Amino acid sequence: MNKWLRPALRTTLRLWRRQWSAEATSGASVSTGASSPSSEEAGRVTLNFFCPHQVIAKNRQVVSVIVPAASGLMGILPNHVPTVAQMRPGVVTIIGDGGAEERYFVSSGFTFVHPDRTDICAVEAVRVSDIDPEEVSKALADCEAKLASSSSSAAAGTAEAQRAAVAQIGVDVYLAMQGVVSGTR
Amino acid sequence: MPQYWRVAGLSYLQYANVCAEYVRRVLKEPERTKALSRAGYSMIKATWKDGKVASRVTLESALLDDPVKSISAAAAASEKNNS
Amino acid sequence: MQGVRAVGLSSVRRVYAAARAHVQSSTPGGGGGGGGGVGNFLSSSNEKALGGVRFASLKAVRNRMRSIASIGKITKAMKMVAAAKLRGTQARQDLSRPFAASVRQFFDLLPLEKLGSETKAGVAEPKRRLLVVITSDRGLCGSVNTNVCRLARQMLPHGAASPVSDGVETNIMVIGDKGRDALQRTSAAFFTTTFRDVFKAPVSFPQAVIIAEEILAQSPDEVVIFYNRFKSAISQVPTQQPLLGLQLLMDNASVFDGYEFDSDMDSSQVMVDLFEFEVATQLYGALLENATSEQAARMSAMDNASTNAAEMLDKLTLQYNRERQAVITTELVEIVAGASALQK
Repeated sequence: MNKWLRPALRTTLRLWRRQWSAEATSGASVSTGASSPSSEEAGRVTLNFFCPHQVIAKNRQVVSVIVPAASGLMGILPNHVPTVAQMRPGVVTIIGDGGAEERYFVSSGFTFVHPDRTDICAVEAVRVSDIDPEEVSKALADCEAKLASSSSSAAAGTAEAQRAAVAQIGVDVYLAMQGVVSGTR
Repeated sequence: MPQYWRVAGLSYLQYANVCAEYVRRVLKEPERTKALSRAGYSMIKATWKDGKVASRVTLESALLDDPVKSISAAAAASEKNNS
Repeated sequence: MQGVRAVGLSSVRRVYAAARAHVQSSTPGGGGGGGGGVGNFLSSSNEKALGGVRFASLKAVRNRMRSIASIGKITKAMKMVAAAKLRGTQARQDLSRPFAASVRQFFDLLPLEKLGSETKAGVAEPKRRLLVVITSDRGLCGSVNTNVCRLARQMLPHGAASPVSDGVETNIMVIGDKGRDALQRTSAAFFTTTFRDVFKAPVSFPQAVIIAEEILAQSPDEVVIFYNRFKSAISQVPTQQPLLGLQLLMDNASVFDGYEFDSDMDSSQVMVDLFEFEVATQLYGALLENATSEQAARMSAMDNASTNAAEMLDKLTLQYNRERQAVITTELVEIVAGASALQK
């Protein structure tokens, strides 16, 4: 599989998560900025934030967005280099005028940074204020217990491995969540 | 390095489904009920072979209560299909 | 719309024709109208049985009227239910359309037509093509299911009885009982999987994921989703949406050169994940479109049926009254004739 993708990613991997520097904008072959005179010239990010069941933001002009990319938090400012980012469970922070923050917890999904807009497509996204911290700690303990019991009895076997993996995902999700709801991010 | 869930035989979509389900479970009410109800499903899948129904299974949303069953239901059926 | 109307009309027309036949057969001479009945009766007034027949024809019309009135009530109720459901699914769809659209827009960077010609000229290895036909479980919703099945049938190799033909393996996955019934007769050999009860509850994303898993498990080179796109309450467009298989996507990955791929692992894996995500989102979008289309089509079909039932009831009422008057007239004639006979 590597073989087919190499031409696509050879150049892009060098530019790993680079912000809107002059170098990056000229390096990207897609006409960054030029094709988006309306939206990005005012120094704003045009944000679309979609879930399968909900539209959180559509064509909203924001100062910046921070998404939980797989490799780490990724800040998106105007004229960010076009990127496709896989998201891990974490917080999307939308920063509007005057530094007003809006925070959503996303489970997973993809973020597409296009030259003229940013699309966040999350499988599940909820307001951080809608998360119940007590339930999180309870669920985390539950998943940890499941993980411990399954890994100790793991005499191989896919079913057992899957059960352990599902518990591990729970631990990951809830650990990420716990950091968020207790305010430390 | 591939992730642990991939090693365990989960696909990306299954991983995404599981993550989302975990998120829905810890919401405050009434959001929790709302979220869980719109994520539920129940349907019947029939696998065909040579123009005839070979097997039938009911697929229901029980991802976290019985993850292995709901994950391997699809896989098992496809294996049967290929053999 | 035209199709919807035609089916709505034709089903009611059939009922109407049956009603007419019934009325005519029980009217001596088959005049149908009241005048003919009277004329016939007068010309053969000494036949005993006719009194009974005259009565029966009236009764037949009355029965017919009663049944049409209740059909009308049922279709009207179904229309109301469909309208209520349509509001729900439409609201849900409005919220989910952008989600599927934005994923699709990214993949629209791939010029499909160009790829098609390239692959045809290229390697002759057997292609696996999976047709995903989305239909409803229940009928009485106009021609939406027929339209989708017709579209899907055009993609099937002509006259072939087995899935492999001309080096292309075609398989069908059907969602919904109506599509299964329609395609089973001719193309059951192509079936791999069928789903039912998908639209029983509102379509959910986890559900779409499960079906998408099923699609991916068959590792097709090309997936074509057939569904009805919801344009408006009176217009649903049968649509076929091709999705490229992973292999083709990988071969043409250079179109995404303008984008960085952010991931913490093997870079080609992102493309695989993205592809899976695409299949799930597009399927989810198509399922919702079809669910909305189904309700909309049912609403207008039932609306037409109700209108037709009302029209037919009017006609039958007229006929009933005429016949009733004719009966009264003939009875009067009999009395007058009897009285004058006595006078003689």
